[in-house]
Amino acid sequence: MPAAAADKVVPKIIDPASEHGDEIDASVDRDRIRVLAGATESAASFQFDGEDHTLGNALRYIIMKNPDVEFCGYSIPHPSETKMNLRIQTYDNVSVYQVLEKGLEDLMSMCDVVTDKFTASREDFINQMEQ
Amino acid sequence: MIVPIRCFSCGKVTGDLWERYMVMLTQENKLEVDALDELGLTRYCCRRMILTHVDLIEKLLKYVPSEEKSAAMERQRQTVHRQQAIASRPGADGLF
Amino acid sequence: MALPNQAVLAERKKLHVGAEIVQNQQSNDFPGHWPGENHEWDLEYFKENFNVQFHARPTPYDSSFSLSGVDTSVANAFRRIMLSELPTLAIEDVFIYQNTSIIQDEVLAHRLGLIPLCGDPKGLEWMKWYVKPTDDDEGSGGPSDFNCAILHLDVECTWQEGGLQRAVAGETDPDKLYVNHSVYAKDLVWAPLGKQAEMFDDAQPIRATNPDILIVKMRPGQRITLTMHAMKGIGQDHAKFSPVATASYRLMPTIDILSPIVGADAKKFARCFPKGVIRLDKITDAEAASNPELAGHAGENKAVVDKPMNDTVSRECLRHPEFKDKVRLGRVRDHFIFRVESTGQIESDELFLQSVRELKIKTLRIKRGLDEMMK
Repeated sequence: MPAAAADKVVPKIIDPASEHGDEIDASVDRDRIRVLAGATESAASFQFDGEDHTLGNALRYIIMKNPDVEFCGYSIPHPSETKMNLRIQTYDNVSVYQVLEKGLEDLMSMCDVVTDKFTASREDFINQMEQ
Repeated sequence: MIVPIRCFSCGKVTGDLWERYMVMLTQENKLEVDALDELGLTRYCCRRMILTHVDLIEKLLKYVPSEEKSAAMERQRQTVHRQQAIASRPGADGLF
Repeated sequence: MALPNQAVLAERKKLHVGAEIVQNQQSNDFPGHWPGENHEWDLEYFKENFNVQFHARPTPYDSSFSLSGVDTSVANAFRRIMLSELPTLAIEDVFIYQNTSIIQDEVLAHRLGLIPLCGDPKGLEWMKWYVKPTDDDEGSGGPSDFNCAILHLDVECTWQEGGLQRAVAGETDPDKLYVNHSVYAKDLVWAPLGKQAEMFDDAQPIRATNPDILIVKMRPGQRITLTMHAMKGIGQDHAKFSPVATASYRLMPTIDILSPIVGADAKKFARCFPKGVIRLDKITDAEAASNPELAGHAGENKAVVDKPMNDTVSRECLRHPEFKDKVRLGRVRDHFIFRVESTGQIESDELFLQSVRELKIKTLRIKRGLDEMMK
């Protein structure tokens, strides 16, 4: 629908993970996450769309590593809906949003370390095999 | 009926192994164990795909109408041919 | 970081495998779990402790490696992504013009779909996902050169020269009677579409990874004419899109011999494990003199753990009363021995790297969504 797309002016973001410099429409990602009813500054449940145990469990682990977090858990409310709920409660009125953001950043930095170490180890192994 | 292309459980390709497996069993007189090992089937899910397969398609292929028809026609042609050959032999007219 | 020494940490990471019970499976490296210890997420600490070690790589499409110092939730995320979230090319639509073989259309189409395809990795990377149009969503619209590869199959089984006569004479070997009686995956012909011709290297066209896959068997007079559309998809949608036959991990087994197992018992003990796991060493005089438990056993065999990685953790040794309280089986909770067996479209190591990238992209997407929400 080109007409509808022209009306909406969306700032384009270049996908840093893409090798072709694909543009990303950030407003699409807006719908991936929402806060469930009853949220306070230090306790909130988020609902992620299109996510499952893959991200849920990894994110739960990394958020639990944060000392400001009192509780973090995730669930998949219904197996035939691709939705994942994540509950975070924090100590001392620390913002859950900041905790979630930190969790996401930590997970990304962890991925970078894994990639680097894996690539180095693979090269070592291949060189060793050739000798 | 015909070899499954992939192992039902793990997804390893098995579709290209059946013919090699049959050669190993029938022509090279190998044991099933050794043949399966040689095919690189290490997990029991993939091993059962080949070990327990029954190649029923071979039986069903015998009931091909067009082939039966052409074979029957060929058989008839050969019979006629033989009869003609007998008929044209000297003495076949019953004169002697 | 205020953490206890490595030996204590290693003991904590050990999962205990008993005869009828498994204990201490849960991760407990969280802040607040151990009094007076700081278990806060620390990237530098992770960098120091995380380790990758390759074990075997018989082909680029089958590799085995260890990840250690990483939590189960993360290792499992990589495994799950490899299985179901990395896109590959597979036949999605089959247009059957003629099929007089004894394999029904739908069965034939299913078989074709399961054939793993490969081609120039650059070209495959360039191809985009195809989203099927529905009533509500137009998806990707019609298939095009950047999201669809077209393959053809056209074979007819016929008699060989003189085959019919040989058949009547009693010959049954199909190779001596017919032409094209077996249709293989190598018979699929790819017709490059639009820009595909330049994106794919001529030496690496889109083709079946295993050319000898038997698709169908035919007899004279039978014919198959069809066109296929191969699209990119993910394993979550259909297992045929999964880039791996298996991507699995197991935990590193540990065997602790608490008090010496000697003589005939040592031999029996070694037989409880797969080959190479337990080694038999001669007890030296010095050992016999220094260790009261070994006194008088000099010159006899002693069981020593050699390669615990080869153990299957069958727990056989726990069934014998003579080894009671002498051995402890376990697994290291944060040491994952991965085995990634690719179907041939993408190399195993590359698959793992892609899975790490995919996890990062997932978090990035959520982070962008969160930022948008907070605006």
